[in-house]
This record gives sequence, structure tokens and C-alpha cells, in this order.
Amino acid sequence: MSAAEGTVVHAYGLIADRPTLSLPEGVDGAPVRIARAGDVSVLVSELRAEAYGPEVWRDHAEDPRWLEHVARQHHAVLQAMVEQTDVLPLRLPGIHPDIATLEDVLRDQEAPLTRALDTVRGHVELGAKVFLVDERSTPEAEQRPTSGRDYLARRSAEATNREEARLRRQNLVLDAHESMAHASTHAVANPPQDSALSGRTEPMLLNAAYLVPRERLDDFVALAEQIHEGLAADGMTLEVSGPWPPYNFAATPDDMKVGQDG
Amino acid sequence: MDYSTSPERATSGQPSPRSGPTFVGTRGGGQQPQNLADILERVLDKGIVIVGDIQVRLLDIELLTIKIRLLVASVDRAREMGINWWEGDPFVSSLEEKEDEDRAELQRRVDALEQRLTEAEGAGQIQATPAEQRDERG
Repeated sequence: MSAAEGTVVHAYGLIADRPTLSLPEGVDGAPVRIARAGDVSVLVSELRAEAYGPEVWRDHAEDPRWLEHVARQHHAVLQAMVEQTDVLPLRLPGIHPDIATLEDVLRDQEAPLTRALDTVRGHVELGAKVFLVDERSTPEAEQRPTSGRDYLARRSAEATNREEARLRRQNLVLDAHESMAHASTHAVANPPQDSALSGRTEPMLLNAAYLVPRERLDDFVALAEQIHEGLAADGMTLEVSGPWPPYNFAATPDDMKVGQDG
Repeated sequence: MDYSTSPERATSGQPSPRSGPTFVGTRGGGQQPQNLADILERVLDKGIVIVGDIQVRLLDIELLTIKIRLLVASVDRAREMGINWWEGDPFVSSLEEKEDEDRAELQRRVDALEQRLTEAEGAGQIQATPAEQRDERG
């Protein structure tokens, strides 16, 4: 089963075999189909090499608009899948010369890939971010300072208060992460996102992902609401996103850097 | 699985930003489009890499550039955020570390001013800070 001349195979993700899936459209409307390699199946589209071949990827490696275009479509397929079945996302760019080559690779790595699929079986990913939306600067007495010394004492007290508030926030965020990690199978804390990319100007104090059993999603959301209420008093908000395909937990068990809190 | 029973909270139409956690996603149907930063972070930086094909490996190397450019955004920005941003540890925002530095600097200036003030008091020449001068004389 080899790709036609002038095409490449774009791979989206892996699933355990499921014949009754409703398959979405792929990149640029290309059909998505399932290729099977042993116990693992892969979702693929054949794309024109002149549009999505290695050279094109290389040319656009720093082109955010082109990457966004591909990323959103790649993600859309995986998102449609995670709503129907367990899926193991593949990182971009997942292009291969033809399906036969890809199938060979998958067969070679069948054991670790099957274990990776086992890890996410019955799970989805939820994202959680904490933002500092209201950093109170402890508005002190209304009166003017009575002296330079008084002024400085106030400045010093404000600095102390700020430090205390910061430590308190840090502990609250750590507690929040711990609670959510406890309610999930695996947890991972990622670096905060750059505001240039996220479009958010508030400091991001937590950028985490949790691998949550599907049947415990509602419990997790209830917990998140509770945590959110608790954080609000300290000027923070919790934002939960998902359910996502388990991108953050798609790794072979050997190199998976997750679960330290789970 | 049933997506319809969950408490969906979209940002739009929320009475206040603090009324509940913002739920962005597909639960319940009515949702915001997923954030680009969230998608790029995931599809370029996470997910399984299937190696074994020379083309793929070459591309992986190239993609390090993308990750750096997109996720760190710019050199200036990276410096501003603290370089540890992507060195593995930064669980709590490095912006808070920036805050630490600001405060340390402020503390140094306060100490220096206090020192000068003490000296001035000793010499019977108490002077208001420039801010107070403006307030009182303006």
C-alpha cells in the first residue's frame, strides 16, 4: 500500500483498532483513513508533497501562520477522535514517504506504542491554568506620610506585604496543582506560556495538564470549581480547558516525564 | 461518555470573571475556539514522535528552532521572562522572580535613603522626599 506519486503521508495519531469511527476531514479537506499495523492503528491523510513535503516544512519552520494552519487541522482530527475513542497524538510534523514505510515503523515499535496506548486508555487530558488577575498593592492609610521616615516605613511594610502575598499565592498554586494531580492519573506542570503567544497579559502562575479518567471528568471539574473559588480571594483565577486528546501524556512509558504527583 | 451533563462555563456571558473556572473546550457543545498557544504547545512540543525514518529525524532537528521561536517567542522576551523558562523547573511563573528582583532593588534604594535620612537627622536637616515636596508645595 504505497502512496501515490507526489504525495506524503501525514500521520495524526494512533488508536486501538475501532472500525465504527466517524472520521473527520483532514488537512485541507483530505480524507482521513485508518491504516493498521499489528495491534496499533494510525490515522493518516495522503497530502500533496508540494504542499506538505519535507522541503515545505523546512521552508515554513518559522512561519507561525503556516504552522497555525497545519496545527489547527491536525488538532481538529485528534479532537474529533478523542470524543469517540482513546487516541494517542503524534507530534508535528509526522510526515512519512508512504504508508508502507510508516506501517513498518509502527510494527517495529509495536510493544512500546501499545504500552503508550494503554497509559491513555479511558482517559482524556484537561488543561488548567492559574492567572494572577488582581495583585492588590495593599492600599494603606489614606493620610499622607507624616515624615520621610514614615514614608519609608510604609514602603518597607508594603514590600513585606507583597512578599507575604507572593509566598501565599505560590503555596496556594502548589496546593491547587497537588489537589488536581491527586484527582488524576498523571499530572504534568509545563512552563508558563509566553504572553506574546497566549495573548494574555496577566502573569500565568500555573500551566498544567492532567490525565483524567473519562468517568471522573465531572468530579475533576467540580474540584476545579472549588479550587477556583478558593483562589479568587487572593486575586487568582483558575481556567480549565478540555477535554483534550492526551498530548501531554502521549509518550512511551520509558521516557514519560509525568506521574510524579499522580 | 456523556458530555451534556457537565457544567459548561464559557467566558462569554459570564457575569464576572470570578464566577467560576472558565471552561474552554468541547464539553457541552457551546465553546470557545481553543487557544492557539495551547494547541501549538501541544502539537509541536508534545505527542509521540515516531522515529525510524530519516526524513522525520531531520525534521525533528529543524523543529527545535520552531519550538524555541514560538514558545519562547523572542530573545528579548525570553530574557525578560528569565532564561529558566524552558530549562525545566519553572512551575511558578518566572515573572514572580522578576518581581523578587524588583523588590530587592527597591529594598536597596530604601536602605540607602534611610541611611542618608539618618545622617541628615543627625545634622538637623530633615528633608521631605521629592514626592512629598511636590504634594505639599504644588
